[in-house]
Amino acid sequence: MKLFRWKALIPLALFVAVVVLAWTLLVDRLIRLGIEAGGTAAVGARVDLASASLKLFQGQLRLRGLQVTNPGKPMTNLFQVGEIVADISLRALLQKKFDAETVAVRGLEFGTPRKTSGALPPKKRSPSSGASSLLEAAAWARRAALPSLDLGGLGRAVNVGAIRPDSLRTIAAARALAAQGDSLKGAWAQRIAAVNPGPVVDSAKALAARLQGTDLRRLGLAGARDAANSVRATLNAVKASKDKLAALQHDVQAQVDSLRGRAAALDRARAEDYAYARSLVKLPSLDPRDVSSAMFGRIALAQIAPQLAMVRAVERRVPPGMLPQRQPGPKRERMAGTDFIFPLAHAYPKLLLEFGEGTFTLPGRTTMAGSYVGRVTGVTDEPAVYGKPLTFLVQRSGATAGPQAIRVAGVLDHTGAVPRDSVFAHLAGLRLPAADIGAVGARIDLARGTMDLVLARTGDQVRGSWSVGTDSAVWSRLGAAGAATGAATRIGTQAWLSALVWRAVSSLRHVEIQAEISGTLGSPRLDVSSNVGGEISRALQQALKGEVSRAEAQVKARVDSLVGQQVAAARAKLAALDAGPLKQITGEQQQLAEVQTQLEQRLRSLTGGVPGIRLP
Amino acid sequence: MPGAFDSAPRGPYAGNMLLLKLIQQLVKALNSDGTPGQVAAGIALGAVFGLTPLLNLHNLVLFGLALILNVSMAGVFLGWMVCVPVGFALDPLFNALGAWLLGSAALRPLWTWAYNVPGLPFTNFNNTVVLGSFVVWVLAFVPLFFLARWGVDRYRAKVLERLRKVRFFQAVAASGWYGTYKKLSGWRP
Repeated sequence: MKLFRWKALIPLALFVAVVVLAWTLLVDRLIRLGIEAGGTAAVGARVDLASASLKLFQGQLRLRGLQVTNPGKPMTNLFQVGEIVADISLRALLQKKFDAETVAVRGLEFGTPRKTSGALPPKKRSPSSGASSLLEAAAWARRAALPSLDLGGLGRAVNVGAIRPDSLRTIAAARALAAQGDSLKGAWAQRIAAVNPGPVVDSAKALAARLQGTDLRRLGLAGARDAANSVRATLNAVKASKDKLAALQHDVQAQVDSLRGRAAALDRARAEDYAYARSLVKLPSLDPRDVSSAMFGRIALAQIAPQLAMVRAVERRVPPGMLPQRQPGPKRERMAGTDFIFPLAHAYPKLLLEFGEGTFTLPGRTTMAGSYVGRVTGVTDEPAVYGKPLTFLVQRSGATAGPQAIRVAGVLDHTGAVPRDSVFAHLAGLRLPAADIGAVGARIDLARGTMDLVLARTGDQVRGSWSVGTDSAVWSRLGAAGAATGAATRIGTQAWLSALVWRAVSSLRHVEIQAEISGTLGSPRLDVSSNVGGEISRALQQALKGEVSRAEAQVKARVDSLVGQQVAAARAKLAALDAGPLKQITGEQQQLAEVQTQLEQRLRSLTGGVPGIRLP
Repeated sequence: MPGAFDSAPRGPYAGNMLLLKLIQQLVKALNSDGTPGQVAAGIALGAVFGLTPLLNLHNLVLFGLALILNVSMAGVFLGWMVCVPVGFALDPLFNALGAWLLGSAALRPLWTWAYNVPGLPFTNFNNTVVLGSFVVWVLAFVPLFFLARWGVDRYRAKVLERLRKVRFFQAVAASGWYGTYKKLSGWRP
């Protein structure tokens, strides 16, 4: 019997021919349907593609007439592209991966009208990662504590009784510090007792005293050897005790240092309590930065929050590092199972766009209308596998109505375990927004100016700044505020403040606002500075003079009286810890060092005392 | 579209049709001119199409192999048909076995290599159900072959002559499918 059925090669060849024919006839259609289905699922609205053409052996994919519906406006495209030509890697395709070595995009347009609605049938959808990032950023913007310019407390008796001890952070921090000091004191006492070098010291002293002035000739060779062994054993015990004490001293010192750091934090907590107490009695800070934050903090938050949302969204889509990943298997009648992904450094990632370039146009007469050129490198869902960061650059090549120069660039480096992202944007000749500043009853129209944004994150830490500058600011008064006059209104009232601010800033044409962001992505800190804040701060300080100082002194005195006892107690406990266990450990170390020196002297005299004889 | 052919036939008579096809395959395989060894090899080879999710590269390769190797094609289809429900029933086991193998730290270098070799990813070996079911089929191949050969031997010695007298058997044997198969069996030497 033969092993092979050679006649079957004919139907097998026919079968292969049918597969090749089907591939040739259907692959373009399958790609088109795949892009439409995948795009629709990703965007949440219809994605249409006029045609797709794959030339497999030339490694070229050409897409024409791509339209992506705006999910919020189904009769408008988010964008449409005339043609996309990609040079793709055949080797990557054989690994079931997609690598576009170069991509050229032509005829990219945003906000174009659609002939038919691109809405999908309504169904319940979970929010996308981008949406949840936006929600998080919006929540942070709402939570952000910004100082107030409410002067309602001025001109009245300061109600220091409103400052309650249980609402002051310093007291809680001082109590926690004292409690930790007590707890550590007990723990250290136990550890010192466990080491207990006293018996070792006593024994060593006794041995050293016994051997003091001993005549080696009377001891004899055996006696000298026994004595030397005793000394060596005791020396070992001394050294062991010294090592234990050194380890203990290291731990104690580290914990004392930590406590000192927490003690230093008491001063910062007290400064925060002063600010909190000021707000309780409606006494504003007249520091220029606080005034700037009160005036422009919300405006800055509105600009920065979306950038933070983008950083978080990118991190969710492109996790850093190269850990094995798991994802649900393909949907089928049988169990889907789980797909394991095994990334390998410098291999092909699942999806890669090595280099892409294109031009696009934003239509209309809006601020952003104009033509642009964009370039991007290293777009991938597995940056650690690719090993290079994503870079992008978009700049305006021709303005229709908006700023003369727009340049946005960035580097997103997720190749390592710690993501490093940086984004830079510069817009010159931009029509800046107008904003109502309710706190001072005025409206500022920033007119034309420049806007810069720099944002950098390393891991969870974020630093950045957003700044605008203009030489043509226009101020106007809000509502009835214009009717009030400084002389006729009571000090501290809204009308009084409005009049004062108006006098300080109404002639100010040059305005600079800078917001600096720092801290962690989850809880960033915002500091705002502005020449406007400086002017208002100066005017307020001049107008209020002793009023604020007097009220501030009362508030500080009240806070000090409430927190002073606890802070003093905590500091006393820290001083006691400094002087107690550490001193005790140091003293015992000295004793051990002394007896060690004595024993080493005895050992030298025992082992080197008999000429020509070396004891073992 | 992985898994598009993984489903059993649907419709009001789907169950009856499936049963009838199964019986037809059984009859063809057991009564073919092939030796018990050829039939058993066909059954053992065909089991992979029932046990593992169908649309994967390894099944295409094995189907080509089944065509070229001198095994009973009716046996291949019989093994396939019988193992489809077995595959469905054992999916949780395959899933657990595949997850254990793919999650093994010792085997990670092997999987990482295979995942980045041209062609191999199209077997979808990195799916827990695919890998688990394929490993079970590999382990079961030899026992399945000997079991099937023993079964065919016993059947032909003890049952076939009695069955030839049963009307239902005669009806199945006279069906168009069976005639076509008889013609195609001429492929075999």
